[in-house]
Amino acid sequence: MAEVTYISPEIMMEGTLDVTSAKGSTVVLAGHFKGEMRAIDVKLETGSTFNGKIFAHSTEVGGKMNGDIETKSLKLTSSARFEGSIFTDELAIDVGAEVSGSISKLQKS
Amino acid sequence: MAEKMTTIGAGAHFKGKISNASTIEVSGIVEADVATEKLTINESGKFGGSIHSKLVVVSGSYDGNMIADSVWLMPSSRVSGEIKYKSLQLDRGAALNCRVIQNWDEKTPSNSASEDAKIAATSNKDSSEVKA
Repeated sequence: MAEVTYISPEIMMEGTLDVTSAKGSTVVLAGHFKGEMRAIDVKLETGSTFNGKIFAHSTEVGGKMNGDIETKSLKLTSSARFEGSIFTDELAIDVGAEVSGSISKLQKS
Repeated sequence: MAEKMTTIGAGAHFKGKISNASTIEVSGIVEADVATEKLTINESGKFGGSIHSKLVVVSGSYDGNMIADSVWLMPSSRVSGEIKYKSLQLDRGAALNCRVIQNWDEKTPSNSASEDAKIAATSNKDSSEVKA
């Protein structure tokens, strides 16, 4: 059974979500989240809202996001509304996405 | 009820607050206060915090104050804290180490003085917890 953490559309979650253990790694957000999220794969679906920070390996944003993303690869789909700072090595932005803020390469630690 | 339920997968650790939920399934670790309609804590799931729900099914471990209409404790469940319920199913093997109170609702007629004493004791306990 694939262990995906799914946050359904009506829900509001506030806090920290850590999904970096070996058993599970994927987070799909269709609802609303405020806080910090750490995972391998993060997907913010169309209609979702996110306020805070994301640390992930790969991230896809299709919703409304306010905050910082630190991820190896990032995709902003056409429905994305992003405001904040992006730190990434691979970036794709679809036509229609609204992005404001700063974009920089990941700092090698 | 056709919408997909919220799942906290095994390996996930959430700390905070969850509101406006309808169905939640926990296979990971959750430390949160939750208001929902249905909550399932799977065998690998660990939940700490308060729950307000119509239905709670526990197969994993739970610690906190639970208020629910129906509570089902599966054989593998381990519960500590407090449960306020209207109907409870406790399967053989379930480890129950907590305070259980049936029909906490003040609107439902309490048929004995001991019931009232129990409620009073509960409110005392609650207030002492707040102080602690």
